[in-house]
Amino acid sequence: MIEETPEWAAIAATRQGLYRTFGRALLPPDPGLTETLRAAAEYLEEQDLTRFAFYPQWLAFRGALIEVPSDEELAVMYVRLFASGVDGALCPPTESWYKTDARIGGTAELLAALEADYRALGLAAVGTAEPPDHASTQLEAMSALCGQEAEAWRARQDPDAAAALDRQDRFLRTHLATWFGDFAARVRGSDQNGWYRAVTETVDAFVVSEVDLVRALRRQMGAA
Amino acid sequence: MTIAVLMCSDGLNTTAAERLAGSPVRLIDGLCHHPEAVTNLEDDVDGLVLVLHREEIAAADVQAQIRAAGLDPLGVPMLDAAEFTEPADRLQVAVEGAVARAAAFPGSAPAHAKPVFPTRLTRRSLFTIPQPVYVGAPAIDSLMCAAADGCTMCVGVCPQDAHTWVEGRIVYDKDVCEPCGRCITACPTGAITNPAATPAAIAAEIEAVTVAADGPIGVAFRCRRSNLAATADGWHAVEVPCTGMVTAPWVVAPLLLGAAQVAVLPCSTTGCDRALDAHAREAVEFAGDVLEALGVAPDRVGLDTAPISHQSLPAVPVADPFSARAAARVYAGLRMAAESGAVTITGGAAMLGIVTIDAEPCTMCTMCTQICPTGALAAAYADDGFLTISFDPVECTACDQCVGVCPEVERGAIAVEHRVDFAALASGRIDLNRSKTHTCERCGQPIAPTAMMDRISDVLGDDQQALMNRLTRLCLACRGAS
Repeated sequence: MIEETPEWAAIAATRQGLYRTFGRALLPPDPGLTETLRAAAEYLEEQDLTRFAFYPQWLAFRGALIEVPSDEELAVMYVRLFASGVDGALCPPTESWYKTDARIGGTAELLAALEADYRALGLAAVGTAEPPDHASTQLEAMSALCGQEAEAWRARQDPDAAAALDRQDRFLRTHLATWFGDFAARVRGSDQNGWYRAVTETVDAFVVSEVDLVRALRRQMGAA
Repeated sequence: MTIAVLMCSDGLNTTAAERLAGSPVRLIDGLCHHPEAVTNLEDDVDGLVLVLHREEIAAADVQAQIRAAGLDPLGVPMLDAAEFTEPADRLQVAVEGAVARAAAFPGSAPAHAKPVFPTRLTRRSLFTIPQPVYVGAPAIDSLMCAAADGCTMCVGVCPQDAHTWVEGRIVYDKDVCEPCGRCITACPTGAITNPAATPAAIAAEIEAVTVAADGPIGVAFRCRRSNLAATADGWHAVEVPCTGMVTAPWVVAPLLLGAAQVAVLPCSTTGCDRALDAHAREAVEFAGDVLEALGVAPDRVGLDTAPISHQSLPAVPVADPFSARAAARVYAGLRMAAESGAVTITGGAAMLGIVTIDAEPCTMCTMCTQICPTGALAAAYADDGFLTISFDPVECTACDQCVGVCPEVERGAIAVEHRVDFAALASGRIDLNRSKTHTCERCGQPIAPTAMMDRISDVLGDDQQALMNRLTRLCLACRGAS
């Protein structure tokens, strides 16, 4: 039994907030988006983010938040990059675009498998207009899994925390971490303004560090 | 570039502290237990060196404070204050080296950082999971990686099987990797880097300490996980991910940068349990052979910090002596410093090789040139219709992959001798084999080298001559069209 675990509960809760914030940043923008993100970033900054290897990229995100384009510009950029264009979106924010061939039905297979994975994790995508393989949906799913972990730590239920970490590890390695890097690279080459480039580069760095942290922590718990 | 140096003054005797006054070292009481002082750096500081009591610090806390200061923990050299309680001169030399290393830090990304949980047991650690510490891990530049041509050098040398070749690319599993750096020094193209120990940073550190030292100084490569608290007088420890990554050219290179002697401290002497000693020993042994052949005292290199008994060799500038494919430059520099004639030294740790091709069994299939990651072996068609395989010994890293891929290796078509051959290095690129090429009667494009067609004919036998005639007359495309 590991007795002093609130530290990891706080870390899991912070990670939950990071995933949620980043997921929100990649949703279609609405008039309140900038203020919401600034408030979330301010709160998260108080949670000792210097513990995380991606902190330099977080600082870049904070820097980008200072000069977010106007709501109108954001809306145009979002559509141009992620929603539509002459030949479709420049950088589709969906897993299926990077991992399947829509012409042979791969998209449907992936979405069906993803829905099954959500169900197995005890999650369901409700109240969102985005598809289940959208970056924001997957980031929100990871947020929920971190919430489960934080709850387990607080209740001092180490096996439950370990199980939550296993679920995160599986979801990251099966879905989010397998395509987000390619997506971020595509945005890097397409976003002239810089806001979405800053967001996706920060999230990419965060996801990379998450894959390492979750696996290492799980292994450490196994050894404890 | 401004690099700040902060030192915990706990345990430092008064004399040493007084001697450090006026040096770039800023003494801070209790820094080990209150690393938040790190965040009070001036705005114009670009880098940082810390001198702390390693046994006493909470490394994760220190790293967090470094990040809070806007710096990268992987780029902050950390010296052990326990090694410098009295001899302030030695500390100043070490600080010069660490400052140079910090200044050469190229920056890192999360892909370069691996979380590691401390293994040191404390009373608190029995009841809680400690915070992880991030160490530098290798990352692969896919644009420089030669895996698409079949190169698997990193796969072969990794003691943890962290690298896997999958459909023309290397899949790296950071989770199982215990960064030892073997893949870095084995990579023939320099595609693998660990920002915590780049070739440029190591060279900068050694150069700085040789300049800062009053007299001749020895350079000892030491594992970052080493528990050796101190090095002998006259020696400076250069930390590397593991001494198992040190190659023979690495052993020689510090001599060209001004070091009088070089040591590679094997795992078994430092408390590290990776058991990669054999590689370090082989590298030191071969470096000693090279020195001896060039008329330089071989005891300038060794596996321990023997008393300094030599002066420095004449300095010879060698560009990037610790980088991939620097072996030829390093050995040539040593030969120049030793003012020696052309000699040949043979040994498995040479990191240079001489490829030979036996024209009789070689079919000129050019698979050896396709897999060669450095371009040492190259194939080219000449205007006269001949296909030529050439070899440049300067570019060869003796990776042996050309031998592994040769379909006629059992008949002795190709061989690599691991050796430093100064005459061959000076001669430049030479032709190893050439063959006339069959050309298509219809379109005039090359079909295949005559040597290969002859070999196919031998395998098929006399009763397939009709097929052979067809194969030698038309190229694949025209055969399909006819």
